[in-house]
Amino acid sequence: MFLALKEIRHEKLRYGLIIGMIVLVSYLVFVLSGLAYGLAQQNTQAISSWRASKVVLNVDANNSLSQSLLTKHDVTKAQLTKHEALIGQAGVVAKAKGKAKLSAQFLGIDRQQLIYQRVKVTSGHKPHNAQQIVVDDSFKENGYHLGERVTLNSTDTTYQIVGFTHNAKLSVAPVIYGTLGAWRTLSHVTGAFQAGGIVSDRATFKPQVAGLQTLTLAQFINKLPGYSAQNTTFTFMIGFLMIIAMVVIAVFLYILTMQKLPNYAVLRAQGIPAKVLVTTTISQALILVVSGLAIGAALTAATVLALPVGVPMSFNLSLLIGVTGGILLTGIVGALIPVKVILNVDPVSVMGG
Amino acid sequence: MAVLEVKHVTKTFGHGTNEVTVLTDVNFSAAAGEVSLVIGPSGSGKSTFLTIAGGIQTPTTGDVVVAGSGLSQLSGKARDALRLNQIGFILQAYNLVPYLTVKDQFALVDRVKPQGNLDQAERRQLLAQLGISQLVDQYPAELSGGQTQRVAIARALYQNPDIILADEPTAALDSDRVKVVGQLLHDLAKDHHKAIVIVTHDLRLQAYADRTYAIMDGKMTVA
Ligand SMILES: Nc1ncnc2c1ncn2[C@@H]1O[C@H](COP(=O)(O)OP(=O)(O)O)[C@@H](O)[C@H]1O
Ligand SMILES: [Mg+2]
Repeated sequence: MFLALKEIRHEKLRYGLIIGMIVLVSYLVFVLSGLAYGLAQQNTQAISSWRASKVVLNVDANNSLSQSLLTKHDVTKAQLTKHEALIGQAGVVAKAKGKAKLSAQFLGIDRQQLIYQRVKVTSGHKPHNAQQIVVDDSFKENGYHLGERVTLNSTDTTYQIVGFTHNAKLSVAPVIYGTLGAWRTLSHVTGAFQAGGIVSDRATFKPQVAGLQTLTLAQFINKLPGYSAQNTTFTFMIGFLMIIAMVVIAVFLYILTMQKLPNYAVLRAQGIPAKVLVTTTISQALILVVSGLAIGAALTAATVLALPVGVPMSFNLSLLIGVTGGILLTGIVGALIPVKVILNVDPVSVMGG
Repeated sequence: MAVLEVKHVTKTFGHGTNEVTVLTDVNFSAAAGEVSLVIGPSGSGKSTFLTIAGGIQTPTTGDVVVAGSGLSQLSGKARDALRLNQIGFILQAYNLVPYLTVKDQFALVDRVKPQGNLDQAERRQLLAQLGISQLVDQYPAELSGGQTQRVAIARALYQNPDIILADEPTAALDSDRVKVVGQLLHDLAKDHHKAIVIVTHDLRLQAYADRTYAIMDGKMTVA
């Protein structure tokens, strides 16, 4: 530690630049993974808030809730308990006088059932009748307010916003919670169809009804339009970014160690044990990488605060630990690749003729 | 009593047609309380001899015995320990760590070898004797050649080794400083019972030596 710190203090510019490089690389990885994760979440946030484990859809719906229709007969045979809830999804365009139009996902739910109970309203209240709706916070960011009357698609009916809910996004669009009746109107289906699908929080729920299929929540989410494609893209992007970042850091620390060999030769000639040189090298790599990561994380936090509300950015602990751990590890590996060279450094090389 | 013995040491570098023999059957011994001087021209094998004697280079054949143990029998770790505790090197090229101030060069010694070094008073006296007391906060890059050499001498002596191996310790010094360094090494041998080995082409140091050897083309003779 003594040698490691003394050297950093004496060579401020060189070490400052290396820390700066690690800061930039880790900042890039943090921000991009935060953005990717944030976007992934916008596909599924609403679904997560239901805390469901199974979704039942029509077999012909190709795993898509918005394409699925269940008849009264289907629903009766499925034998719902208080652990199940009916739901219908319709893509809509919301508009109000003087406000920007918003593309949204309308979710029709039943006021007696699970989803209605689990939706958390951050301001206002839950709907009491078919003309009332609860909408995602992003409506508020677009100037919509409590009590505002909005029309959906080209229907004449107006709906009143009575509540806002936080983080309710489905397929990257804000969610509007209303009734199943309104859903029927918006999807142009008759009263013969009771809902689009059934959501259950029982892992064992699996109605044996011809024409229905039961998906786990993970299956359902992976089949969301564009979701897997998007996630695969981001996973590869972040994966490649991480690999490149790690290689760059490892190479820098390798070069750094190699440049110190003449000094190590002097120390070896003085009888300083090789162990001291190796610990010096490792602790120096740790100091550089840890301070780089810490500053990178602080910059990321500052960026999160400075970003406009609409930019999705969120972090996942295991992702952060993975990124941090990966960078830390490669830093040490990079510094240690030349350890054999350090151990064999020839003190005679500095003795001169 | 011989604390350092070099026995039938030969050193060759390279292979085949590139093979050069730098030392040929060198025998040498240094006793505690004596200054041994090895004089030879540039390229005669002085530095090679000294680094082999101090265990930072291994001979092709032959062995070096320090305080009763043959270096070839010791593990790398044990050789490190022996060098740290018993042998002080004053190298020819300036051998200070560039990012440590003079004071910290000593602090580093304290860290890797907490015991057996000079005490505060002895160190202060040593620095005063070498005229470098004012330089403790300087980095090596801020020192002149002669100052660097004197700091390197002080650093090696600070470890209080039984054997001091000096490679051209006066190369960058003027005549007055040569006298100081020669006298200092001589006094260390006499008063502190050290074995001092100096390799040099500087004949001015002969005045401080108990024995003088000559080295020429890798062959050592008693002068
Ligand atoms: N590692 C080496 N490889 C090849 N030749 C060497 C090596 N080290 C020293 N020599 C050669 O050995 C001879 C003696 O070198 P050295 O011991 O440094 O002499 P001196 O210190 O007396 O000037 C020189 O000719 C030098 O070129
Ligand atoms: Mg030499």
